[in-house]
Amino acid sequence: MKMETGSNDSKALISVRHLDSFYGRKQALCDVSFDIEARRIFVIMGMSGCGKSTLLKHLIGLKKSSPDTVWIDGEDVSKWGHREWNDYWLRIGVLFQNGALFNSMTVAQNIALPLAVHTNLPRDIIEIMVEMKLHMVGLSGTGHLMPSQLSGGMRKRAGLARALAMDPEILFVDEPSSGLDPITAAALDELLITLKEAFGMTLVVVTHELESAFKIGDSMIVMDGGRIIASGTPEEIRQMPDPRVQQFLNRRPDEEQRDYESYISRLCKVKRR
Amino acid sequence: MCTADIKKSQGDNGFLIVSLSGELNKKVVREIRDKIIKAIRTGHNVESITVDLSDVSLIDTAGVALLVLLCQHVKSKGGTFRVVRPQDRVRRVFKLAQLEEFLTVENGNRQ
Repeated sequence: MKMETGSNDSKALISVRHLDSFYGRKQALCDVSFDIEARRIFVIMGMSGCGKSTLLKHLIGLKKSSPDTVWIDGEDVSKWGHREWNDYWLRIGVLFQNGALFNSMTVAQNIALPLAVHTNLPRDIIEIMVEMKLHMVGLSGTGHLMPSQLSGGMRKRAGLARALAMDPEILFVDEPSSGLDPITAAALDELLITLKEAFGMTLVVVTHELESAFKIGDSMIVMDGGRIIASGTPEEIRQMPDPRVQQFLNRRPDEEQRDYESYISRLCKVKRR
Repeated sequence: MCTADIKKSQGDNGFLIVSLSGELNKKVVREIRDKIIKAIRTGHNVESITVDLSDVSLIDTAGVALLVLLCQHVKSKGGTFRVVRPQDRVRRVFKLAQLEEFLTVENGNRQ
């Protein structure tokens, strides 16, 4: 994986170089660097709170990046204005953890909305596209329902159909399997792979689900405490001896979290009232 | 960019051969649709449409939706519709949308 300072000669679709990120004084990302190649599935892994979602926010433009840290198509996004960001947002789809559907619209209206607003496609074409997207995510015949009538898993899949509405060049997916039963989650993994192969889509998937990550990922990073602790292909990650990586892969809880003595010590500090 | 070469038979049993090339996506679908509809409405009734996709490198769901509309139109008039020679990647899209049978997707030649 290519890493450089202050410039970017990479041919990657997205390059991140020495990215730091803060919420107030709290540092969420520290010196993060990686490349995302076009038409591949890139997986961002790590435990809750490790900085995965913050990183996603930088990649989709919801959090501002410092100069020379995030490059898309070879362009430094810190120099982008409204027009460049709008052009980029038309090229991407995002599936947020909660599906992020408009509750006042039916499922079909949610999916049709970006097509109606951002394209000159005729209504009949849009209606067929909406039906296809619903079918792809296993929700045929639910277009007339309101989001409130859907289960959590169905909302997630409807959110994916909406993220796919514009046939995006890049699809960002935040925790695709959360809230899904194992069979639906496995079908979703297959769908993500097929989207890459059939449409030539680039996928960036944020997940803590190991089985899913290793099944779909062409390349991946593992994050811990806002830093990348491993990067490479799934096979390379599996072979890494780093104890933090192995701890994550073997699902061993962080020893600090289970530190019994510090737990007791904290309990003892509580003043009796 | 996508181009459409449209050939129409001159006899009573009208058939249309549409050869597309390039990327059939949402940016070009309206233009391609208008071109094909114009050809369908000109002269004799069209009883059969064959769409040759051998030179189409990429298709999105807007492109597939266009084919579905054409297929609906011809079938509603009792005619036949075929999609021939799609590249592997394009064929995967038809498979994903489960439309291979509906669109009569074939590997054979266009005659």
